[in-house]
Amino acid sequence: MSESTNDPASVTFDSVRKVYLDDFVAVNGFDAEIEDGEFITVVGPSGSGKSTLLRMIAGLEEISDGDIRIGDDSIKGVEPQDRGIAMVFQNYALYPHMTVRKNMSYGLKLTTDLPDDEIERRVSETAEMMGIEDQLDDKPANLSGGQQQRVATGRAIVRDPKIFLMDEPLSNLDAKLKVHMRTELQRLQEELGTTTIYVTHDQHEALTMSDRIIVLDGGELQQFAPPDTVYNEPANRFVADFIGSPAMNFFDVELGGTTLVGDGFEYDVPPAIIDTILGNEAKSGLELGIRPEDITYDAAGDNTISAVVDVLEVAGSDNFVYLDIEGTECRVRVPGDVKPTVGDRTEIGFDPDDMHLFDVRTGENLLAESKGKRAARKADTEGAEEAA
Amino acid sequence: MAQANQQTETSDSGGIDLSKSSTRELLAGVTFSLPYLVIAGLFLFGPLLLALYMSLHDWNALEPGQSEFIGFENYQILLSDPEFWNALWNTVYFVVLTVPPIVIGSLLLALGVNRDVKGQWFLRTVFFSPYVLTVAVVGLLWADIFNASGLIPYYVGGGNWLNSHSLAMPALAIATIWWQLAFNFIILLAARQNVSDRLYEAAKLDGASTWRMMRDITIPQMQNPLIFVVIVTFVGSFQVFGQPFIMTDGGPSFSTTTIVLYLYDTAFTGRDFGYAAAVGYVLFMILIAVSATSYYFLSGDRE
Repeated sequence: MSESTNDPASVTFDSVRKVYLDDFVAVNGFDAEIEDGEFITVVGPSGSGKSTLLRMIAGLEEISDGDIRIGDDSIKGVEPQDRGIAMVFQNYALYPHMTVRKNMSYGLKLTTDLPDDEIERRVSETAEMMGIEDQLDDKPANLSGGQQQRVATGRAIVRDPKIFLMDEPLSNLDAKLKVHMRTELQRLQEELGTTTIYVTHDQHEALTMSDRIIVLDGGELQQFAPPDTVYNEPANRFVADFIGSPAMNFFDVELGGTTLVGDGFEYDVPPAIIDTILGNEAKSGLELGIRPEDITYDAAGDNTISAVVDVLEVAGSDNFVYLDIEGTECRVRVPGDVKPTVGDRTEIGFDPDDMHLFDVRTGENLLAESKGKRAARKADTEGAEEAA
Repeated sequence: MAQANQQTETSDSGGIDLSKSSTRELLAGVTFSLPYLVIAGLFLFGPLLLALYMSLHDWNALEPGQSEFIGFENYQILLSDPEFWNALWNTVYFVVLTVPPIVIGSLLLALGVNRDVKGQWFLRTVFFSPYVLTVAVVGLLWADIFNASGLIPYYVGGGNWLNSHSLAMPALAIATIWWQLAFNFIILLAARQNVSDRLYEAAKLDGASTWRMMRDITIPQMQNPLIFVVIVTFVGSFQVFGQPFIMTDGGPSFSTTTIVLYLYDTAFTGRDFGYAAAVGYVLFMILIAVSATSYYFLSGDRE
């Protein structure tokens, strides 16, 4: 908004823990620092503690242990309305008996001493920004899902908070509207520059919207990094499996000399990767991970794996081929014009730089760090070749 | 041409099919509604019309065919009948004594029990249990409590409340409140539990105090059940019969004679069925007026 009184704020989580009365640990030892103005998505499966995290910032849940700071100030003991936050709920939580205008002005009336005409001006300005100025005198029940979503967002914006908290705000919309609102929310956040913490179970939202992603599982932080890092250099097997659709392929393998040996295949790996594996002392109990789009279907050469086509999933621009490699399923993304027949035998291959290797005991991605360096090196080489 | 004819025939037959299906739908609708329509016709609209018919006659219960049509004479007598007016005022007094405590009390109980208190299940059972008793049991139980040697005179004083001109009606009211609170309590508890917790969370973030949440969220969200409870309680209290019939028989000196008790006495003791029907009709009109007024005032748009 033009006359912002609240500057965006940073949020710091310091060993935050949430234990419910029945001893269920929802969030465990969570540390993170969110910079001011960042758009952060918190992603994870049901029960991973992502909503609990948001509700602790909002003041809807007590913090069992540790601390959360907004800016430099701890939020412990601070009333929700005094924390400088505004929240958009999954089902919007609009007051059904109030008009849109009243829904949007209610918080300002209760928490500020702004005169009525100033509140009215702010509501009108926000309504215009959200494209709901014609609905100001309607009640929520008379609005479409998309309009309700805009009202809920407008109600948060009009408060001019330091931090937006969004709890799966798009999950009730249909697919098309969801995509539209996603870009709209991004545009709004860029315009307003307000720190935003956005909870979702939709990895696609997480990858497309955020500056950085927090991946949670079982109440514990799995990875906190920019979207491309989370996707290309997943910290562990959980992140690798959770982010990406269709999911990454996994194969149990063991290191035999310079070769990874799995059920029904052998794959030669470069010395640099061997060194990394040996450095981690996890020669056996390894899991090879490779994304469907990183696999070459019908590959030539000698470092390939033999597979049989099991299912073909036609998806328009791309097709997905489900292959059987000696009992293990492997998904491969192929161009839309590649339509193999079920039962076809084929060879698949992949660039060793695209593969991930997980320690089965810890789930840790042994190649995560080196993969970043290798990716940079690969980009340099390709750039040099092009220049030549 | 032949083709065109064929097309017309096809579309015609399509039309016939449609009307057949809508007839079938209508038939199904009527068939499914029939049990209710028959029962309502027999036990609601029939008596309603019969009572109107009776109220316009000097009704002969033994030989209804011999009843004499007297127009609105019963209604004219009623307007100048001091016993009717006494019964009407007694009833209004009873309504005033019972409706506000029952509605407000059940609302407070529902809101209280809805909170996360220990023994919630037990409290719900305790508060609901009086409702399963019949009016006869309630009447006899409370008659004992208000008796000269009963609990209330012992602790509060006032002798036998049911023999006191000023205390008999409050005694009936107390028994009724205790008995009827439960029904409204259950309805309002269900209504409160239907209000989404998210609304309270949104209000909390908006800075609403407990009182503001009650005023701005709870009451408006429970508006329809509250209207229902108010109307049902009004109707129930206006129609009070069992409690005075069992506990005081309208006494002492007609101080607890309510309209329905007066109607009963007129019909079955005085054998004046036509007049009693007129009393019943006046009560019916009062109830419609009270219900409509309650609805009008309570359903007003709060915006």
